[in-house]
Amino acid sequence: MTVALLPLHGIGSRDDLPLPFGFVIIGAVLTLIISFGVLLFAWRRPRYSTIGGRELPRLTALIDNRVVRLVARLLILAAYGWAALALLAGKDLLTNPIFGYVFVWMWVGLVPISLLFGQFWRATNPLRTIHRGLCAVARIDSSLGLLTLPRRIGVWPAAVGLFAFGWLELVQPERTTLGVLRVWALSWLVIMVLGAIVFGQRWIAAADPFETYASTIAEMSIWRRVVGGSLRLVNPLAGLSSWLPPRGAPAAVAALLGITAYDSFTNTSWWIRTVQASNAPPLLWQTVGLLVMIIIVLTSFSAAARWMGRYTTESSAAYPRLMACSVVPIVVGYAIAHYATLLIVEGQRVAINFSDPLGRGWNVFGSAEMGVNSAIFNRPTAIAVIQLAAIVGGHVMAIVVAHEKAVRLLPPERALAGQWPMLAVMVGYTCAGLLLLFSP
Amino acid sequence: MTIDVTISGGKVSPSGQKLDLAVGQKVVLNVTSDVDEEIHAHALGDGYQLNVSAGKPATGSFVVSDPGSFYVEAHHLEKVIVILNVR
Repeated sequence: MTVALLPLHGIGSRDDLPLPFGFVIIGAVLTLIISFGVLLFAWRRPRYSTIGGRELPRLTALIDNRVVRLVARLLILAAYGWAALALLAGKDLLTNPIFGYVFVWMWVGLVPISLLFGQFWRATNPLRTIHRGLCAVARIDSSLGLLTLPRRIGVWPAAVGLFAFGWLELVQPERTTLGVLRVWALSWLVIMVLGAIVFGQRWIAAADPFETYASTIAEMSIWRRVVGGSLRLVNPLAGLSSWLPPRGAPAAVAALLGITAYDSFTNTSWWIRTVQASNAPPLLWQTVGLLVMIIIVLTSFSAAARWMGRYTTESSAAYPRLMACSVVPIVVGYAIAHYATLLIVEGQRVAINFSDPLGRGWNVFGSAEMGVNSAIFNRPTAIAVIQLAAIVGGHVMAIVVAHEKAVRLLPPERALAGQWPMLAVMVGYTCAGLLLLFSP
Repeated sequence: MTIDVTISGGKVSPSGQKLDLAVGQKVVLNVTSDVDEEIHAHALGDGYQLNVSAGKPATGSFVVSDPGSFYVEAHHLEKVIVILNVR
């Protein structure tokens, strides 16, 4: 890419074609039929009260092995170190792999990594490795800090961090220049590591947007650690239903969904026309637009969850947090639909440029001379099918988990009445997602 | 496919319109602008660029060779002119 253009999604110049309208209709009809089917005919007693699954003692022993953990952490740290080299000493061109490393490998890559490998991100987070290293040198306990982080804070800082990253990805002017990215990267590193020194390592779980995103998605994987420490192979529906999200999880999930929704919405003719015709600065439109999308998701989801509180003695305020697990499959479906081709195509470009971080003509990993295979873009129907399957599949999983939580939390005769607003909200998210992919 | 582009007073016309094209179709740009501008399109491997000077209409053309959705933009104004949906 020799021409520096307003990048899409933060990077990349070629976007997916709009979803054919026929697909939108099929998706919407399937969504409605399956949703009503689940509401009316699905089980009335909780089905996944016990996690079940199969215990995996040998795998547990392998991944808990101290040497294995250390090697994994150091390898990941080395990858980040190599990327930092590109950030600090590389050329300020779009061939610098750091832009794709952040916007594609990290932001999009963490979804398949977490779905396939569970809590891999949390276990190998370079922030934790750096903090542990500093504590080892200073001979202090990494779990302790100067102050104690109150439990109430949950993942609220990470929710704010997710909004901040969404702003960087979609609004920040000059985001594919080294000067801008350096400031953001340094801020992230300092806030996370300094916070960990002040509050102990728990700060990273509370505040790192990438780790919160990854560990949320990982709750949907087939791997689960049970109390007692061993790894089990589980049904993702059972695992997700058993997860108790921390405080602030609804805000974090709303940020994830809102960011992707906003990204799609800015691709509509209406948005482009309106922002470009207005005399208000685009930055204002974009910031407000992103915030509004996140707020719409958060308020609609919270209202639907709180409705369940009418049928129990439990306070309504507890329900958004209890139900936050059910939106996760929709987040994953949206992410796959929007970013799959970006990961497949631009992800390759990062791998190619990773061999030459400083732009000096190196070929350290042997990939520098390879070309990007963008054959996927020649199959728009295949892309459309993947997108439809991801969105509808995510929806089906979400309503099944929401139904399971409803029959667990509500008295049996109220399970239907308590559930339907959440179902309606999810149908709304899914149909909105399909319409946004149609991209009028 | 001929697209008549007008750039005046910091605004572009068309502004964000979506156009459907077939692979192999030729796109002709007729650009009139009151400022010096560069029109960029990414419908080719390395991207297509048309330079236009203030007050002097310019014409250029390119062939869309790959399927996908591409922006055609006014580079300095950072405004999207049209989106080409190529099938």
